[in-house]
Amino acid sequence: MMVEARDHLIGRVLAYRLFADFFRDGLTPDLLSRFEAVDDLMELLPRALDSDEWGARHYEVLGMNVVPYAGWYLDERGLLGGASTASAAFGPGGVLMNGGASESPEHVSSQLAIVEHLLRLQIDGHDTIDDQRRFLDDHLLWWLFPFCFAVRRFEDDFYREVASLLVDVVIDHRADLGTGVPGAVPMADQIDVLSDEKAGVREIAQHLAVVSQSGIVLTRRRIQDMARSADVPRGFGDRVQMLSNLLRSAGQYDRVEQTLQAIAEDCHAWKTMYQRVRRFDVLALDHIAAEWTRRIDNTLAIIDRMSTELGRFQ
Amino acid sequence: MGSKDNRVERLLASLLRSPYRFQDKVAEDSDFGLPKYSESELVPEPIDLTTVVHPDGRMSQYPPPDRWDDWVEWDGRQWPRKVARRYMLVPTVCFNCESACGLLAYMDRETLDIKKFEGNPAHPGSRGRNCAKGPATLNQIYDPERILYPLKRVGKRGEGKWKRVSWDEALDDIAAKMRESRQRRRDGIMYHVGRPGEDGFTNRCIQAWGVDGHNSHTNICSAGARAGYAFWTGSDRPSPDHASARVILLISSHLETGHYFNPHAQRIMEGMEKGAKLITMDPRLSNTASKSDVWLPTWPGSETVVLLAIANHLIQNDLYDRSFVRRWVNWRESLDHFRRHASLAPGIAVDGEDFDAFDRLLKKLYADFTFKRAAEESQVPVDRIRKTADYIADCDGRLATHTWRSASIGNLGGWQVSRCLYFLNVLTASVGTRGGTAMNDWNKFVPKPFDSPPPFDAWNELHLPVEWPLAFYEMSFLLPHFLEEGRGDIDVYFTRVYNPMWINPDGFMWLKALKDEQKMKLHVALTPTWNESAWFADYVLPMGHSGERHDLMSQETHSGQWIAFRQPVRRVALERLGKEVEFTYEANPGQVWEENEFWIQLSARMDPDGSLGVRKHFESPYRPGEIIKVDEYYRWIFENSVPGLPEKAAEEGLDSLAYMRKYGAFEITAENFAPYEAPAAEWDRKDGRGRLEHKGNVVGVLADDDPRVGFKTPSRKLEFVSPTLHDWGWTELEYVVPWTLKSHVHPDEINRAAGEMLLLPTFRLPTLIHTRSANAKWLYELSHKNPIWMHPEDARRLQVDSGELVRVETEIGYFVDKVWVTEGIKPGVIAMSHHLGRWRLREDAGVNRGASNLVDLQEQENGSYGLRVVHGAAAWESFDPDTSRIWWKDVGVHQNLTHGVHPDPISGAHCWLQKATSVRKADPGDRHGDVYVDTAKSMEVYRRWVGLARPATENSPDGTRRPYWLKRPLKPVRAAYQLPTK
Repeated sequence: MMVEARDHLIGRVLAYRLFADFFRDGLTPDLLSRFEAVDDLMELLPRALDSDEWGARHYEVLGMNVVPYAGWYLDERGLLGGASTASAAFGPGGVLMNGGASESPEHVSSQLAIVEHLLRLQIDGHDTIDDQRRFLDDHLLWWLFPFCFAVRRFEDDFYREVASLLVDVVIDHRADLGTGVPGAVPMADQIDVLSDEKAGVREIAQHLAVVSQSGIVLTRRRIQDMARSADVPRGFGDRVQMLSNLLRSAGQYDRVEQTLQAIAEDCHAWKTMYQRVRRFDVLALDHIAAEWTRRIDNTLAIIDRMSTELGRFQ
Repeated sequence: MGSKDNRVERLLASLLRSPYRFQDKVAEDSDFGLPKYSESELVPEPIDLTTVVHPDGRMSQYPPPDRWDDWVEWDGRQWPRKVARRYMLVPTVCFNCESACGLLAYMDRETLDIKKFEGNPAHPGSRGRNCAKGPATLNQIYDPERILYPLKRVGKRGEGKWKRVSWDEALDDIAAKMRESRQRRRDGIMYHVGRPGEDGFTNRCIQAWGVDGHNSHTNICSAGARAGYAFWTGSDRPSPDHASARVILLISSHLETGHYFNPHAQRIMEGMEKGAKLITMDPRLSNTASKSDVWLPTWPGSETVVLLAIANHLIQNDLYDRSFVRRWVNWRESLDHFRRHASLAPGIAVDGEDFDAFDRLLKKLYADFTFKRAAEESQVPVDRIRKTADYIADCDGRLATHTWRSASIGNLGGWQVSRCLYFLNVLTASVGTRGGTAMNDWNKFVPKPFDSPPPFDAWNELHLPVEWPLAFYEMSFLLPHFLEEGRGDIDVYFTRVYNPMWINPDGFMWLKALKDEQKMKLHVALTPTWNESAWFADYVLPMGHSGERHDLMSQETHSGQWIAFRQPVRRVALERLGKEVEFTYEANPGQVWEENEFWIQLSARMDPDGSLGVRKHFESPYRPGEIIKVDEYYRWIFENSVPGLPEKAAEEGLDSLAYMRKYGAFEITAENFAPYEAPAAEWDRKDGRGRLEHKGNVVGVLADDDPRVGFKTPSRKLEFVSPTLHDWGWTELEYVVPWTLKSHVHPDEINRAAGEMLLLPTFRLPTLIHTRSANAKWLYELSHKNPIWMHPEDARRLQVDSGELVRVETEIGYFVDKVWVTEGIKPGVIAMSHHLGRWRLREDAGVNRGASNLVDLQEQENGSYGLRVVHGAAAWESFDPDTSRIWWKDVGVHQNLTHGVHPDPISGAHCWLQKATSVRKADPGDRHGDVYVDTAKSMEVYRRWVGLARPATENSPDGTRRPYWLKRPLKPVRAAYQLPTK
């Protein structure tokens, strides 16, 4: 089924609004009725909405595990209002950024709302193609992919499917915007954590926990699962602390190899997701996915070296 | 890729099919949306701001008035960008509560959209300050749910089917029906007003129509207090001078929290900073009570016994001001009354004719009102009452007291609360003094218009039936019951910024009436927003908020007098820019109009050839024979009726209208103390009661042999004994003098052991105002639910905790609400705020979705009704992104539906306090917001209360329907007062 060009834009506006509202509020009665229009999600929707349960799910996914803020993924060069995004943010007509929003401008819902706004202006006859392209290429796509992939890997069917749809929509949208190459990578350069002789478990954990360093998102839930499958304790605290505990107790209980293997498997799974993005033959997408893939490869190399070092001691 | 494409196509196509397509909304209201602001290349200049130093020492700064036409400032919301905005500042007046605070609209000079409302420093009442409701006017103006065009019903009443019509079409149709009615009868047109928010414009129109058509909301609001004040002073509303008081005594914080929150609160703070003691009588620990020096959590209905115990303390210990009482109280008349009616107070004989005899009479009469008795009846520690009495005894003529609704409107006999309260002002000589309590007509200034139509010759039995000859005023909350009884019908019924079905008790009786096309033949709702009653109207006509309409207002905010001019700010801005505007709807969003121009046009069309005698009252004083323009109406007033204004305007080289358009307010006098002491002007005769007459009219009275203007009572004195009450059949002691009356919720009437409780359903939240504030998103985010306040003792007994549901049964039905357990309410009493529980019948239309429940309305053939909440507030898509951020769901429970009507037999007030016949944990099938009412029981309760009345037909002393001296909003000719001869 093809929809006409204007309707296509309107559909996109509605889709971005839907995603923005969902990632901000979770499944509310209003959103439930809106999602009911989406055929691909029908089977996953509850017959009767238990707001408490869905509130808890929302908190579990976005409050405890997958952080929905740009700053978690990018450094200050990539943040909204930074050099790379200011021009898009204050695009045609001095567009409001987050005018009066309750959420931070760095929240995914605020940023999807910006895309929606630019699309609305386009519908009203303004030429916002360049602004859309710049906003997506220089800013949003850099972190929307790892955010969505992390949600997809989370064990919640509904959130997984919504995140998957959002990736599809944004790729489709970007493909329609034509050629263009993203500007500078809005993330700090990777550091070879093992090059520092004094680096210990905590530094390695630090590297793995920072998304832009490891290239992957290790959520609390994922760390917990790894610990459980390796049958070692991982303790409590923040993710760095949990990872430190995991690596340290893996050493104590002779589960290091198994644990490193689990992390490596995660890296490969993330690489696969980026490979799919690269298949769409859109230069900007390819560029972004390639950069993330390179970072994941570096993490794999670190793991490999750790395994090798471990072998030397065994 | 193909798979992805299909998924995206499917997603977009399915969303396009959904009812959430935004473009439909955009197409519908294409010229209305979020305000737009332009960027200015100008840079704000450093200039001296207008500094207002408030009496409490704080300072506020404002742009100086000479720069209001062209003001540049940075837009703080754009930080860290530096964006300058260029504004035109236009003063107007808030339209939320009635205190008429000044606002200053900041309008973008290019787009003429309003950026914000701030305080108007030139306004003498509000002095540049506002409460939350003033700035929230911005929400109301840019409310995505507002009604933008005149609508006419096309389906059945209440079906929710409307078509957009032009103003011409609406005016012609309504005017024709009014003309037809007026030709047949003088009681077929009814204008039912909530809070007027203006002084006299519409009343003049009704008078010009020649019909008894004014129906107010007063008897669900202030009737009790008004009656008590009127029987003392002849005026019916108090005006305390809080700022200069030594003692401030409030019967609840109702007024200070609600109507007069901003002007009174700032003056109470001012008084307290100067050392005034604040005393609050309230069963609920309100914000005001918590800040008081003494909180008296009285059992509702026991206020009078506490007040009389304090009075007794003053009397027995000779702490009252004898010289004032001797000079201004009708003590001679009172002694004479007791002498002639010895049975009034058995065992208490009048033993002389001088003031000492009156003093002795007072001492004997009130001797039983001891602190101990007051403590027992009110369930308040005796020390607190004694401390209160000590403070009052030390007030030195500066006792500021206030009651408006609360206990006065809550209880059977509540009118005695204001009478007993003002007794303390009389005893301490705090009557209209600095720091005392004046009457509103000494401080409120209502100028005369260019033309005053003569009184009408009619009496509408649906307004003031014979049962309530002393009512303040029309018995409007009983209208559906009167219609149900077949007492009459209405040809054209206007509801004006009023929502009778929601706000009145027994709302399902209103529903029946509003749906009955035989009894209410045409219902025209003039309203800025949807409300529950407008849903059942035939026409819904959009009227402006503050900043979109003309009105003239004055209120008794303090001891001075002022007027303030509400203006349609966009219209004023357009005119300043040289653009001509014929009607205000040309400048407002959509076709939102203002009532004043609407009434002028409607009245002219009602009488196109002048044969009804209506048209002549709407002809311009400046252009003979032509219909008046709204500018001309106010121009004439400002030029001719406001002392000092033309001179003040001339000092600035302006005419009077231009001055008011520029400043929005004018102070007539800064102080007006004790005007009753003004010398009586010309008089030619003194009657036997010491009253002074001039050409047959009473113009004053002798006060200690001094000829003075006096009060508005028949005796021109403060009436301790009220001959009026006696003459109209209320002869017992407890009616004729300040006394206690047993409330319908007296502890004897509430069997707490059997689980009965007292429901206090009237307390206010300072951030909301009845149904007007539902479309102000900022206000609703602050306050949106009304849980039941319950004391921990009661919660333990009922085994409920905060957040759990309870079912509250009343005389006519029940409701289900969440409970909030708190020590801030008296044991045995439950309380609910009265602003909340709005509802709508359709998902996508009706009352604002962020402020209302979607409900299922069930009507049974046997007259029972039910409401069940489908869901609460929810986010929705609109041009305003905030509507998608609605995070709250609980918007309260509509408790008023379950209240039986309680007309006080004297004041006519609806006695709001309810006996909860059962309060218990909700049943498993109960849901939050459930309401059930049996209207057969409604009528039983109504008839029981009607039975308390003493009708004029049996008690009138002179064959009239009502004492002529008592106020009515619009008085008919004297002949219309005669009872039917039958």
